[in-house]
Amino acid sequence: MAHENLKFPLSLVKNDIWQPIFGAQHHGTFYMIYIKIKSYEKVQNDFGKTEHTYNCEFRLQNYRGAITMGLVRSKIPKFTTDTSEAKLGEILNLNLEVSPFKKNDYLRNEKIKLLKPIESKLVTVINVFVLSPPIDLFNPNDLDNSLYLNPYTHLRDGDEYTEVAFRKSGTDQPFQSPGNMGWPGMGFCIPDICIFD
Amino acid sequence: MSHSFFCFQSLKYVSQPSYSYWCWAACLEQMIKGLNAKSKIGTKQCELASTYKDIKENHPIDSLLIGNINNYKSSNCCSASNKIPNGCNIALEENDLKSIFGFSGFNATEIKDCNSLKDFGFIKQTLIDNQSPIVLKVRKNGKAHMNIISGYGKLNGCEYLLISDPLESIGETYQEFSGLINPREIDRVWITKLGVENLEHDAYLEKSLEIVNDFINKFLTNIEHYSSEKGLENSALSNPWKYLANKDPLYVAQSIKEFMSNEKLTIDFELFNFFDELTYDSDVKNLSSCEQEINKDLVVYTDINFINQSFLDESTQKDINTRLINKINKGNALSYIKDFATSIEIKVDDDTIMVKPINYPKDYEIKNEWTTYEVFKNQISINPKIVYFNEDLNTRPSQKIKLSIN
Repeated sequence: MAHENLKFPLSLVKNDIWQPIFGAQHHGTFYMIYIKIKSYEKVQNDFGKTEHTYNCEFRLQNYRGAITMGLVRSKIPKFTTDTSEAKLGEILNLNLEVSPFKKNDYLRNEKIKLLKPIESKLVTVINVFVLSPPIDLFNPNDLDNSLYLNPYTHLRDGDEYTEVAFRKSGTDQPFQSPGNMGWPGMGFCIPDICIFD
Repeated sequence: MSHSFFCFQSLKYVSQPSYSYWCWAACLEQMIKGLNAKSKIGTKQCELASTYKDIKENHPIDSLLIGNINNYKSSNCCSASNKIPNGCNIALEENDLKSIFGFSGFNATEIKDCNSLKDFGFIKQTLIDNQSPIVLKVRKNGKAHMNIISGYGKLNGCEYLLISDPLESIGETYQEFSGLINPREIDRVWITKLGVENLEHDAYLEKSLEIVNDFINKFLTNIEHYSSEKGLENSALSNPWKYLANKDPLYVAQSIKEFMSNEKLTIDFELFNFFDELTYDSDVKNLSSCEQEINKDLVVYTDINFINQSFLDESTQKDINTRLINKINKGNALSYIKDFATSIEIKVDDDTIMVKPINYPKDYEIKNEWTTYEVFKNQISINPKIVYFNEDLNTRPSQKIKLSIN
């Protein structure tokens, strides 16, 4: 979930600098993600449709914490309409996957392909999907033999384990077990929202 | 470029409400509506959640399997506003999936060995055989989430699966197959199939299958020669689905009937060319690397849903061919042309596609009668296209950015 009023400014014309787009603390490590928007091209793809392609690089910088976070891949960006109380209007979602226990600071030669060009004042949300720790470190189906517990789903309690669940305070929503299928696609409020100059 | 993309065109993407746990309900709504399942617990996400909430609060789910589900519906999770009523934002317990899908008109069977998903052919054949998506329990940020596989494709030798994620920011994408199956992300898998009472009798497919089987039996020896020359397994061409999987069954059946009426049947050369045509699968390998994901909006695809096909996406294509005519003959030939906000009815008369406008803007110069498709296209094209309002003018300035490109 983004902060409604505080946004990273993003420029399409500063082609040679790393611009901050995201900051978070996961698995105890504080890190930030930056983007370099190198160039733009308008092309007709193999299917005859017009694509607006932004050639980018992403960089993750670990700042504090014991667990190394790393970039995995970027996923297809999507335009959506924000229906929250913030009423951000049309937003561009840039989707990235990040993993704990992974050393990879860069994603090079990434192509953000869109059906329409980015316009001034477009709001962009950076959705970072944090993958589970590697299965040989954390297996949710075999906690006893896991070398690490994912602190977002389980806490150690001696020889037993406690499941972690959240709900917004002041509501009567039932707490959800981490094994139940229902993910709202959001976490706690973090700086993950940008606006193009 | 060689490509082939397939999806259930009648499945229209459904997203879960923002910040909700209703990924499971969004997937189910998409499947119920798209495949015309006879759901006993409603079709909309909020209706599904209402029933599930009621079950969880009041009744053990197994006891409902023998009872009338309608007797238990008392919760109301539907709301006119965007907000989900208190207590309704509930996730689906994985052990309840089979029952909830059952009430919704689907048989869901878990695949115990997730390694099956490492076989692209298995996934493709499962979608074709069951005519229904594959349900995935995936892990996101440590939490469980539901996605469905609702199509597949090939591009330049690379294989893709169409993954539908009810999170609107992700949506539907063709994801490169080799990068998809990751045990860290996929926890459990269910194949689904419409309940028997939901299946429509697909006479076209059955008749086509019959013709293909006759053809295979008649030319078994030639198939062996062909397979040997092409380095294929005999069993591949002895399987009727090899012929039907990537093509419209009626098209295949028609081609076979025409070929069998040809006097040159016994000549291997003619037969081999025909096998090439029938089994062409866009499977030409090249050395280019695969793209990890392909935006569904950026590709042209065809459908794998032989039962309930939609004509919508092909109504404005220039090339009208046999396949299209076959589709129209199979029914469901009602289309909507978004650019002109016009609904049309379609039929085939003597191999000519005929069109009749049903609903259209009142100031359009257009005749409310049957005409040929070509005439209709000319008629409608002289009218102005529909212009839609911007959603929010404050956040959609018209000023264009000029890029300096290095």
